[in-house]
Amino acid sequence: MGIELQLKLYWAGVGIYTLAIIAYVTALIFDKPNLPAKASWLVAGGFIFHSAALLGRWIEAGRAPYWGFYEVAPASAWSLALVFLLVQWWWPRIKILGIIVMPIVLLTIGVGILSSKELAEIPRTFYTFWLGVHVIFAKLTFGGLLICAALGVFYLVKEKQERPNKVLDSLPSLETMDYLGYRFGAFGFIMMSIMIASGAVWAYKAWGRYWNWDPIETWSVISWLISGLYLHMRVTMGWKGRRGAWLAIFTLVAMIFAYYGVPLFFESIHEHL
Amino acid sequence: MKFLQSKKIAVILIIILTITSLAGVLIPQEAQNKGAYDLWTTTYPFLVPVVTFLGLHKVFGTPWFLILVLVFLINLAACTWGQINRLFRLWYGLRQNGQPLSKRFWAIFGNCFFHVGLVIIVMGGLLTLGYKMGGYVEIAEGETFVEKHENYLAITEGLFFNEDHLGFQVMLNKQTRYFKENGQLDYVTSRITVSDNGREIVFPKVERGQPITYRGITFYHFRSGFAPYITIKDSGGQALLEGYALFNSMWHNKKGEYSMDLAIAGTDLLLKAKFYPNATSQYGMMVSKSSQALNPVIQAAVMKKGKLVGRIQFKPGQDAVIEGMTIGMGDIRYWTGYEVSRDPGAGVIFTGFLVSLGGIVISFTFKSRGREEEDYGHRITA
Repeated sequence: MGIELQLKLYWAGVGIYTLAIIAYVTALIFDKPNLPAKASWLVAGGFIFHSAALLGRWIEAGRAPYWGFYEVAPASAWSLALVFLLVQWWWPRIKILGIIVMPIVLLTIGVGILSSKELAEIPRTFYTFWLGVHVIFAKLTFGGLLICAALGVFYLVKEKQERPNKVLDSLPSLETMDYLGYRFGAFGFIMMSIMIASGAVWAYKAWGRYWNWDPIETWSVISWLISGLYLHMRVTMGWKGRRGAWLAIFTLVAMIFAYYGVPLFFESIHEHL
Repeated sequence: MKFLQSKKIAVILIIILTITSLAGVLIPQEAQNKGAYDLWTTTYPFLVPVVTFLGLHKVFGTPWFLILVLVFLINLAACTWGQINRLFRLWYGLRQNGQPLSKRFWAIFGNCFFHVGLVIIVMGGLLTLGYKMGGYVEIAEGETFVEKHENYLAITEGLFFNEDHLGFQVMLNKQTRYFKENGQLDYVTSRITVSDNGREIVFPKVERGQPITYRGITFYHFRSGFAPYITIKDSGGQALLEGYALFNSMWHNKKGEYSMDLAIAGTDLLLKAKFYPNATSQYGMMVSKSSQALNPVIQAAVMKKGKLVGRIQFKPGQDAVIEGMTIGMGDIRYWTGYEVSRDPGAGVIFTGFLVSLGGIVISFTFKSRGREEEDYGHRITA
C-alpha cells in the first residue's frame, strides 16, 4: 500500500476521531448522557481506518511499524485507542474518559503523519524477538497509565462537582474510580517493568550491556520509580483519592516525556525516533 | 532494625534516587556521551565548577550515588526481611488453625517475591559495577588479538576487576559480506578461531545479534570495514608506514565512503583519508556506487601541522607522490570491530527480573479483594 492511500486512511481516521471528541465534549458540557456511547462507536469507526493505514505501512515496510515518528506515533496511538475501546467496553460507565484519551490519540497520530515518511533501513540488531516484547509492553504501559491518569482527572473533576451533571453522575463513585485508577496504575507498572526488563535483555544480547544510562533509559527508570512511588504511597501511606489522582497524572506526564520528549531534547542511542 | 525497615525512608530514598537520576538526564554524562558533555560545558560554563564538584557529570559512578544505592539496598533488604517474617507468621497461623492458604497469603507472598527480586537486581547491578570488564577491539582478517588489557582500543574495568584477563588469542579468519540487490551492504559475518593453551575452537559465524562466548567473555559484532594495505615510502625508498589500515564504516554516509586519519611516523604529516570501495564520480564528487570493492580508490587530504599541503588520489597499481613520499595501496582485506564484555552481574540481574515479575504477577493476581462494589457487581472490587 502506497503512502498516499495510507495518508488518506489516516486522515479518515483522524476525521472520525475528531467527531468523537466533539461528541464527548458536547456530552459533558451540554449534559447529554447518551452521547458518550455514540462517541465510542465513532472511535470504533475511526479505529478501523487507523488500523488499515497502519497495516498498509506494515506491508509496505515488510516489518512491524516501529521506526521513525511516522510509524511509532500512529502505532502508539493505535494501541491507546485499542486499550480505550476495550476499557470502555468492559466498564461502560467510564466512556466519557474518551474526552481525555482521544485528544492524546489524535495528537499522537498528528505528530506521526506530519513526520518524514521515508522508509528507514533498520540495523539487524532490531530484528529480534525481544524488540517485539519491548515494543508491545511499552504500548501497554502507555495505555494503562493513560487510563489511570484519565480516571485521576475525572476523580478530581467529580470531587469538585457542585451542580448536578448527568454525565458526571453516571460515572462510578469516587471510591470506585480511585480503586480502578489504582488497578490501571498497577497494570501500567507491571507492563513498564516488563518493558524495561525486555529492553535490558535485548541490549545485553545485542551489545553486551544491559544498561547504559542513556537519557531514555534513565528517564524510563525515573518513570518507573514515580509509578512505583504511586503504588507505594497508596499501599503503605494511604495516598488515596486526590493525592493519588495527582500522582497518577504526574506519572503519565513523566512517561510521555520519556517516550516523546527525551528524544527531542537529548541525544540518545535509542535511534528509532 | 525498625529504623532500617522504615517505609518512610524507602519513600525518601526513592524520591532521592529519582531526583539524582533526573540530574543524570539533564546534565549529559561524560562516560556515556563525551561530545554532548563537552558541548554542555561550553554552553553553561558558569555551572561547570558546581557540577564537577558534585560529580553530576558522572552521577551514576560517583561514590555518593553508590552509597545511596547501598543504603537503598539495605532498606529494601530489611523491608523484605520484615515481609518474609510477616508471611511466615501468617503461614504458621493458618497451619495451626488448619486453614488453607488464603488469597491474602498469596498476595503477600507475591509482594515478598517482588521485593526479593528487586534486592537481587540491585545486587546484580553492584556486581556489574565491581567486576564488569567491557572493551572494544578491531581485528583485520588474518590478524590475531590477544585478550590482554593493553590490546584493547578502549576498555573499562570494574572497581574490583583486578586485571583478571585470560590471555587467549582470537584470530579473524575470514569476513563474509552479504549484499542487497542494489549493491549496498546487507550484513556481515565473521569466522573466528580462539586459541587457548594449545586448544583451538572455531566459531564459524559471528554476526550482529549472534555473539560468541568463550570462558565467560562475550564478543559482539559491532562494526566492520575495509582494511587496504597501505605503503608510504620516502624519496629514498625507505618504508615510513606499511600495513593494513582500518577504515571506519560510516553508517549514515550516503556517499558510501569510509574514513580514517593516518599519522605518518617520523614526520609531522597526517593523511585525512577516505576510502571508496566502488568509486565513481557524481556531480564532480567522488562517491561509492556500492559497498563492494570493485573499484577501490583512496582520496586523501595531506596535512602538515594542521595545514593542508595537498590532495592525493591513489588506487592499487597507481601510486601517488606528495612531499617526496610515494603512497600506494596493495591488497584489500576486511576488519571487524567487536564489543567485548565480561559481566558477572548480568545473569544475576536477569534472575532478579524474573523473580520480580513473578512476584508482581502473583501479587496482583491474588490481590485480596475487599467488598464488592455495587456499581459494577463482580467486575470491580474495592
